[in-house]
Amino acid sequence: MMLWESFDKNEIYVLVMLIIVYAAFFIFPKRIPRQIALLFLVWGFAIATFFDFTIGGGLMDFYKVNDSDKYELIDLLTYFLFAPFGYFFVYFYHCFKINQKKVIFYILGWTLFGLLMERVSRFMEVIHYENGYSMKYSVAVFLVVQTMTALYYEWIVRQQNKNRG
Amino acid sequence: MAFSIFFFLTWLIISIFAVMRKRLSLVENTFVFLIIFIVSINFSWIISDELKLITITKEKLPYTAYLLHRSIIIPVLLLIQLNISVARDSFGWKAIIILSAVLLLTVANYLMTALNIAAYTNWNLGFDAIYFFLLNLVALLAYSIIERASEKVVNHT
Repeated sequence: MMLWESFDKNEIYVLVMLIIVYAAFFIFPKRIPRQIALLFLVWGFAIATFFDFTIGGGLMDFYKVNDSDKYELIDLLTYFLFAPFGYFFVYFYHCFKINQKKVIFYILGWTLFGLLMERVSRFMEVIHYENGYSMKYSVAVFLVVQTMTALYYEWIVRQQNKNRG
Repeated sequence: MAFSIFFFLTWLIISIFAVMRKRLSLVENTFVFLIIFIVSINFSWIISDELKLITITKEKLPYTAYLLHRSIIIPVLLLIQLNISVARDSFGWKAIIILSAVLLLTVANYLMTALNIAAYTNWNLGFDAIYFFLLNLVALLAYSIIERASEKVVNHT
């Protein structure tokens, strides 16, 4: 594994974003149980890894992360960048008391935010589309992932409430 | 043929996990699943695409079988192993269950080569067995981490 092919704006962007999102993670008051926080950090990392190594590589190869198709250290750091987003999705879900009426707007809001971040990532050359991929396909990815995350979080909360009796 | 066999195995493993008595909570099971899922995806990518130790087929359906194996069969089988092994405190029991999981996963990898999903160039089933043994230990480690995080919550309240 190489560190990076050339140290330029994509590496700087990833490192700056890492500092911002992890600073936010530590600064924000802790509102959700420790084990659920840990779970959704890993959830965010796993989703990024899954998509990059499934539709971003292999037979489909719809996009390239950072400078090359080779596995760089900066790619690994990029996946770590996604971990706090998994956490913040459930954090604000909890803080804003999202219910059945609000959930559609909540998911649409995060999808718009995701598309905006993807646009910035393309500008900063972290993501490079390949083989006919375009941003409209990311809408489907964001909607599926965020709906699944919301449903899973609801399931966990119900299970925990049931266990408490 | 390769796809059908691996699709059946995926269905079987998920069904066994769904109906079995689970000793771990939903959060613990999900956490361990995700950790194994991340390690499995990264490891399979590194040995095939980076180090070229194995060659994965370029045909779509057999390639999908490889994705099912990497992303579902390996992590869910290790979850089954973990849920069975924590049922008893005996070291012998845990060792037997872990070795059975290593054996089953190595047989699944043998099937991948026999069905031409993967070709081993500088790799062999012995390395697979060592990798699966270490992956079992990663599952146990992940379980102890999430269990400790849960205990801390209990202590606070």
